Amino acid sequence: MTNHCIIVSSLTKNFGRIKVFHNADVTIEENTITALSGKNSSGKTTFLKLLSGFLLPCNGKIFVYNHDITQNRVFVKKVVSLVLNTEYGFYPQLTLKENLMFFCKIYNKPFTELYPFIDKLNLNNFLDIPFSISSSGIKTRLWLLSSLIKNPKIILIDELTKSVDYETKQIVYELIKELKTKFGCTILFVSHDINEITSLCDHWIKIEDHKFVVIK
Amino acid sequence: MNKYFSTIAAFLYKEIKTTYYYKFHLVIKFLFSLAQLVVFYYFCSLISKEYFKFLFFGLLFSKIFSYTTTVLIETIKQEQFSQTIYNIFSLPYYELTVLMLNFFAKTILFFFDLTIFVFCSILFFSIKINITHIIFLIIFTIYTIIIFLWYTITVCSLTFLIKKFEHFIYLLNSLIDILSGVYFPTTVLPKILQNISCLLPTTYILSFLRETINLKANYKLLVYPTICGMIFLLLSILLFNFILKKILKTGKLTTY
Repeated sequence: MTNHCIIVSSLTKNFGRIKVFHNADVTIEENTITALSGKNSSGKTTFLKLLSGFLLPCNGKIFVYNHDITQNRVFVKKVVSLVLNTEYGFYPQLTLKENLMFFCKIYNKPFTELYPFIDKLNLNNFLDIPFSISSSGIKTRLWLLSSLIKNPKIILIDELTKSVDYETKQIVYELIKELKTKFGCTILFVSHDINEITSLCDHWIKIEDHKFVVIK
Repeated sequence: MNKYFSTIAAFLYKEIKTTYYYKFHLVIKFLFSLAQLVVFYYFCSLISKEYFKFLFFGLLFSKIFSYTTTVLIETIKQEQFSQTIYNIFSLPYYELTVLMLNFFAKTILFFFDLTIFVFCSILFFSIKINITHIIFLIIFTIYTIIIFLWYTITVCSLTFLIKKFEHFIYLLNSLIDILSGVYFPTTVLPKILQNISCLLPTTYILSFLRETINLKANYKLLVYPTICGMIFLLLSILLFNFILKKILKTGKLTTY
């Protein structure tokens, strides 16, 4: 039997006159890797922000593990991690290690538990560098790493591999696969790269004309 | 309960690391405070020594009030600017809880700031404070922070809604300082301003501070600010939730 961890029903989202979603429906299966694509400004990042509780729908319902996100945003925050593709997002003057320590303290997680992931993401040599002077590739890996601290069930990734080299991409792909197989995570990632989508994902959803279209 | 403490500890860790990084700024801030006291001390000495004591407790209150009312605006501004707001509002709490936990952590550091201010005044400006006064000042600071939580929550809600709202608050706080009697007794104000002054809870709390230091504690002065504080606190939480829902629809929560 298929378990859906995300159910979106009749979703409508506008920003003033700008229409993003109109009566859109989609479901995402638990423990799968799903790619989300669409034209620029079609609403991909907006959808991730809706799923992580940073935005509320104008109409319609979004359920995460049967919890309505408008009613129970704290539950959503417990189980969903959002990984953004941004140069910012961490305290710039703190080192990578200090930034990670901050989140470890919040979630009562020993820093040593992160070492396997730090090794995997090749971040060992960069831990003492301030976030502000880290390269885009390091920042990308830090976003991914920090999203794992709270042991999320769902990880939402926004164009993570856009600005990284081939080698880092492979490392990120390996980790994403491992998160699904070893840790049972559900991954929804935004991508424009057809190769990435076909090689990595179980399902593929496209946003077209304010609706979701299931491609695969 | 443990999870709240660990979150406060995490915020405290972050604050200490950030403060250490900007240690030069800390020194400048301290020297500025000292310079401000020197200037006031000089002008007060032209009038009377008692006036400096009067002014010192006014400035102390103003420092506590200004910290309480602006710390959350500064926090939101920084978190929005560095986009760390995505990470801190992803914590498994309501947004207001996250802000309050951050506020508590910052308040612990504020006590160090306040301690330096008081000790400098004792050392360099012959302010006489005994151990009873110090215990009273600690309780008074906590009371003032709690009583004005409503103000900081209201201001922070409006900051989400109206960008650059903080400039208005800095102006308003300066007016409140003048009308509450921080720099001179409210009795020297024109009648109309005296009437406004009577409406401000800050006037009563500052009078209470000065009277208690002069061993004439009048607890009746705290009734009005306490009632206002409790009622407005409830209203400010409702306002925060209302504005939060609004900005979650417009997407303004994370943008500065």
